[in-house]
Amino acid sequence: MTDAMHVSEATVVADDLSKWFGQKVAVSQVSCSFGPGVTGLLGPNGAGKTTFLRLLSGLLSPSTGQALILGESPRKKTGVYRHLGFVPEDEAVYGHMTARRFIEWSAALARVADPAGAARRALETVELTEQAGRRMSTYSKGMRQRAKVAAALVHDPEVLLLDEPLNGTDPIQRGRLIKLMRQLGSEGRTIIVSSHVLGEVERMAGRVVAMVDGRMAAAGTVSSLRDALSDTPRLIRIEADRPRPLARRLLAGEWVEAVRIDGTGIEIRTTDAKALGGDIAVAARETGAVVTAVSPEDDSLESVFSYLLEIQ
Amino acid sequence: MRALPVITRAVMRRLLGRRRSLWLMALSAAPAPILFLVARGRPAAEGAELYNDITVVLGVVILYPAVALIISTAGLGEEWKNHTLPFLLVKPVSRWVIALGAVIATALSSFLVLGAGVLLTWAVGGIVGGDWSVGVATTVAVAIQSVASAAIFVPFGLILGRATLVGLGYLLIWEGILSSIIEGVQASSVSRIALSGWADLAPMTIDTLSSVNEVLGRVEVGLGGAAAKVAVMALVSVALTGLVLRHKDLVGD
Repeated sequence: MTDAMHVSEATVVADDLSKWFGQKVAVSQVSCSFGPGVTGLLGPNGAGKTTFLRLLSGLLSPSTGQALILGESPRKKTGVYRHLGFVPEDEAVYGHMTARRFIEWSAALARVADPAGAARRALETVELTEQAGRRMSTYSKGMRQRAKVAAALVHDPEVLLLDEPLNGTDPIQRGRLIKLMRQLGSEGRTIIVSSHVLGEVERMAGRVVAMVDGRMAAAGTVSSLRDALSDTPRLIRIEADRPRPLARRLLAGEWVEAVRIDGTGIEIRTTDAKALGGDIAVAARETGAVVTAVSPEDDSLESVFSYLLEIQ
Repeated sequence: MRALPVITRAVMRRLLGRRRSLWLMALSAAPAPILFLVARGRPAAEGAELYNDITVVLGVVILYPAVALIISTAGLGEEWKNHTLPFLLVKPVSRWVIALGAVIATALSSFLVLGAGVLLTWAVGGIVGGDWSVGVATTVAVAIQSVASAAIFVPFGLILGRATLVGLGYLLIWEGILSSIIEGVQASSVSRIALSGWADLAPMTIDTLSSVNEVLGRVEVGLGGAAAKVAVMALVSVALTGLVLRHKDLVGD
């Protein structure tokens, strides 16, 4: 799509990746790359995030294109999995196993030298040590998610793919997992986390890749996404002591679509935030208004995402 | 190949660590009380013959294949249906090793579950027949049956959504009906292969031997031949299962 879809030190690459199931196109001609740090894979339910992560992890074969992890296709070389951890979206776990056994088993299969020690550390990381001796069939959804994250982390992978890892976790656990993702990302690992909850992605990811209807809609930071959407109306709030004359003056700008005055505040819907930003200072000088604050009202992933959907 | 014992143990724990395995053990032990009730109070020679009749007709031909089928389709098929297969597939382990581990674990699990029933029936056979060697042939037949079932139904379990149902249809139609009617099919009949191994070791009367030969048809009696056949089946199964794991999309859309 654009250069924003690619990073310079790519560890994970999707090259013209498509996947269809019969008549249904789940992922369509996606080309993008991911590098060290946390990238949020954002999209509504049914956008193709899960299929995309399964393609990257080699669990699904692409209909066209290829997925590369550290330069290798996991579909062709299973050795790649030494460097890759994957947390599937499914709630399923081995109910008959305890978390400790499950994670030790994962470590043993990943050829970790000391599976028991690695499992202990992974359990500590996700704060599941106390419950590690219980069968996972007795776990809550949040505990299962943490057990899966520990199993994906146990062999210290360079690349971690997590499909909705925060599903079912309570707010405290969610906060801890988000902190963990950020920490892992800051250690130079490539972390790709999917979510449809925009606030979560915003909290953990420096970069966001948005998927809509199986296609990559946009990529970048929240603000860069917004810049890329400069022709889409945005909402700006201005606090001023004389809002009425200021609003009247600003309405003269061709980039202003609508204005609403609310006490000392003005809400302006604009098609060009940069142009409006430049005009506010001029308008304030001309009208003698004192502007105390200018802030975007909707500069959240939620609004970016809804804009993306509108564009689609 | 370091992963092989890890996978084998995990699959066995899953297959045996459920209430289902207790029910299947009970089912495979069904010939024991029947033998006890039928042979009670009869002469020892009759008891030994009844042991053979009951274990062959009820066990080797009907119950043991059904029990082995249920365990074998769950070998990897259960992981597929329960969505736990990704945990196994995202490990740095060759698909052939996963396939080999699954087939070995499934065959061993079937043998252990069936073995419990065989042991109980063996004990009853020893009591009513006075001959404690009667169970050797049945144990061997069950071992052959376990390997053959794992070889056929582990890949089946990964390919078909209702593998157990299809497998029961296979047992009924292919093994039960077609093998009785069409001689050419008999060579591929798992229960006949197991029976040919059993017949090589079991102490039999002329009448029993004649009945067995009638069931076997063109399948020759011989433990070596039976072992060779199931070994080839197991190798083909590992190759097929490995291919399925490698090329089939085993997670949903």
